[in-house]
Amino acid sequence: MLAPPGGVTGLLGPNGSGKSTLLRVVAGVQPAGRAAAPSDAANTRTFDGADLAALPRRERARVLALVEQDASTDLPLSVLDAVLLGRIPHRSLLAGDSDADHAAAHAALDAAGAKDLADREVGTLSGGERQRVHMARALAQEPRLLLLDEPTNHLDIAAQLHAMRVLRDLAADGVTVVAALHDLNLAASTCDHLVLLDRGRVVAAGPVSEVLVPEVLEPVYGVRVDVLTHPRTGRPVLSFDRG
Amino acid sequence: MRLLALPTAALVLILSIGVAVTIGPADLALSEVGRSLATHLGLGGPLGLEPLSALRDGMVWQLRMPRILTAAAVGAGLALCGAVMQSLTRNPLADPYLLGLSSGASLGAVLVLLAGVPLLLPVAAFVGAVGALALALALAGALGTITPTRTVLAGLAISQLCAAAVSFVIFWSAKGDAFREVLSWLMGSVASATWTSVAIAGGAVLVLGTLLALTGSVLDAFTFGDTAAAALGVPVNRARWILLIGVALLTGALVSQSGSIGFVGLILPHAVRLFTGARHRLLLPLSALTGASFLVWADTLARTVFEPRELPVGIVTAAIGAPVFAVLLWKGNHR
Repeated sequence: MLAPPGGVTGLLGPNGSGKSTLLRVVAGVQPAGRAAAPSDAANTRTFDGADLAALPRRERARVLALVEQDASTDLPLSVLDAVLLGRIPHRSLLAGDSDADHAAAHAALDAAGAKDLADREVGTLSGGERQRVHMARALAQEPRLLLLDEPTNHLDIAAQLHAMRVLRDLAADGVTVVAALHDLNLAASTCDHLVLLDRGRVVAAGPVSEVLVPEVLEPVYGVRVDVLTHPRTGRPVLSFDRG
Repeated sequence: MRLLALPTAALVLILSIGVAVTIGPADLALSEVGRSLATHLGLGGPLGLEPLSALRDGMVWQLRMPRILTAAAVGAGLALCGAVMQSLTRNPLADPYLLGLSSGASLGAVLVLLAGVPLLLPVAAFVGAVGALALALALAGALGTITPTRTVLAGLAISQLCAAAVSFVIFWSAKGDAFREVLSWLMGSVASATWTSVAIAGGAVLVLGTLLALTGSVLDAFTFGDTAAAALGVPVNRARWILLIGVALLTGALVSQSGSIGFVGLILPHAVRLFTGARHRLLLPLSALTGASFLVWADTLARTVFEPRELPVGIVTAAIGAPVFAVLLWKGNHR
């Protein structure tokens, strides 16, 4: 599996195909051995020539950040404090937040479009706002590789497009982005590169135009697929029926 | 404002201790307390202070001071351990006794009290607490990684088991004075504290408490769960083991001196969080300082409200704690 540096790679596949597991193994938060799913996982963990699995945890957390699905807390936590958590790998465990940490946190809030939320409490945010905060927290880690597990889940369409816009901007700044996505049309409109998983195996990987074709998608999803072309952007638009 | 929180809380604690010493069946002046302390610290001569009469000096130095300092140490340790447990298990209802520590300690204490060897009580309580912890962790760890839910459930199981054993032993063999002694211990009390208690509880708080209070960043990383902590570079399983054992040793030392005093470890961290937010760097030391002041005053109430009869301080903390908890819940809903 290849995620081109400085691009947005979409990780696709039906429920249970191993998208989340693959992300967690790459992020090093789950050991590869126990992952029943992606047999390719072991080969996918080099980034920038470095073997991610061999890096010490803290160093890995400075290279790579993971945005989970549905991370939540019951504690009263301000948005700025939540984003400052992303600075933990960058400072000594005994130190408090430095000015540099605050600067990085504000820059991350800015990049995620969450500048106005800084003083709010995490528990009072809407789903879309909360997703921006989680992205900002990951960005505060200043990662070169950003992994996201269904970043658009449960978001309304404007929030979905906003999240994808943020990912595009990050990629333009040289961050390698890998996002597990359910919505194939969202993947079609924003990703550079796609990886399609089925039952723990990579069945296709390549540019959008090579993966989003009926011959590849139909056997994996078990539906009929028609690929149209968007009149304005020229990108593929997919239509499905039960075939 | 946050910068001043720690010095302010420390000042409040020192004043609380000083004033609490003056309160009791025989009223003492604050200056007398000062004179007694100065004399015992070897400063009386150089400062030209006249020592107190032996009776009044004994009241300060032998009776009230050890008791109040023990209360302060126990309050500080419980509040700190409560904050750590709540974050570590991601459970707002967690308290320092969660892993069966108090029931284990009770079992050890009740056995030696009824066997008629009360001198062994602190040792038996500590052994009981650590034994219960070992069982709870073994139970939680036997299933693989010790997740928050497993920790809570294993603690609950061991707690209930020890509580049943305590009830059985009391039901079977306690009568008269032994029963009263057992009951007072079960409800928590610092009435019999000596300078040895101060050394044990205070020493444990200074050593283990300081170490725990320094783990703020690690606990911060757990805010959004284990995966988020791992993604921030924290060795999740190892960190949880070490912190749980630290909490257990500290709580075991405290419970051996005071019995189990409820509500301090549950309520104080929540109250302090309203002021500090959820991050731990300030929360941990501030919980410890306010917990200390809280228990000093709760114990002062316990020994003076129904003078000359004394209440177990656990009754006072519960009587104050339960309504405060209700208010916190209500405020939490209206924020």
